[in-house]
Amino acid sequence: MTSHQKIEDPRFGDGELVRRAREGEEEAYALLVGRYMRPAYLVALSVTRRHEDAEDAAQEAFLVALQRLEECRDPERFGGWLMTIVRNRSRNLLRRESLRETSVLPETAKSGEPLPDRVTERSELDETLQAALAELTPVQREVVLLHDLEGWKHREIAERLDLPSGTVRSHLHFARKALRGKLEGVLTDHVKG
Amino acid sequence: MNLIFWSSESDDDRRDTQVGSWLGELDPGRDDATYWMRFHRDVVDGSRFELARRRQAAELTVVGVVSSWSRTLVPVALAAAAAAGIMLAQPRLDQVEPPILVEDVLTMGLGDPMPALFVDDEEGGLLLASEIY
Repeated sequence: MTSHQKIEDPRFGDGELVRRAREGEEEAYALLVGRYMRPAYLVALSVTRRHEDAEDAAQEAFLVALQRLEECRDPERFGGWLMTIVRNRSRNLLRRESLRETSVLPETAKSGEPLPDRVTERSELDETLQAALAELTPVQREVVLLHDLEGWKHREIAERLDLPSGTVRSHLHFARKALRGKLEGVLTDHVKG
Repeated sequence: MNLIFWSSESDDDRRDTQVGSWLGELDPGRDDATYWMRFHRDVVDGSRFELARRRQAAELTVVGVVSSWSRTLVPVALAAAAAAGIMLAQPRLDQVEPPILVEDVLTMGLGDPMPALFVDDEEGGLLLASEIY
């Protein structure tokens, strides 16, 4: 994720930014959003496994977090608190969608045709990757995405996902192993190309 | 489920570049250079109302609270002073006559002349009023 314009200022810690955001300072809040938008998206993606849902859940989570900022008891650990909100919003979103799909089933679905919103032009690469990720547990997906894609350290993941450091390493090990098993040889050429 | 636990912080904490490059396919900003900028803008724009509400709330500092109280208290104090003035200008309730005592009732009129219980008859004799009726 290097293609976006970086919206970050490392001079300020989370604690200070949270305190300023509580006063309604837009710049502080914007820095927090810039700092955590990609991890929030990745955590949401780990749960929902769909881009559109992950985007919605992550964006909703930021608004909910701002509304409940006083409930963040340790502003220095804003990241972990936010990830909990992201995870909960993602699960709620999935629950709402599953209810909607079972209660209002369109004719096309009843007849076995694909739902219009499911019809996406997904590349072979994307499908293979999605299938490999589906084999992992949500927490394994979170850990491997945050470590190998977002670049978080074991310690940061442990702190922000509220997991023991050894458990983070364990999840990372098995997630990598599973992905390699599924993707090696299949994706390597695609990605290189 | 088999779990492997590491106890040392000295284990390799580097990114797995191959896995990272596979997972990079999931990055919506990979093929859309402005994706994360738009994401950021959408989130911040969507939070403007809440941020404005927080700024308003933050303006109610101690001084703000005191001044807002004084804005309410001054007219109330003025009204109370006016009411007190009106009450003072009216006759005082403790200036009413003292209550009539039982002793006063019993001795009342003792020094007054006797009522006309007797009337003179035509012959100059006295008749009791009761004898007239």
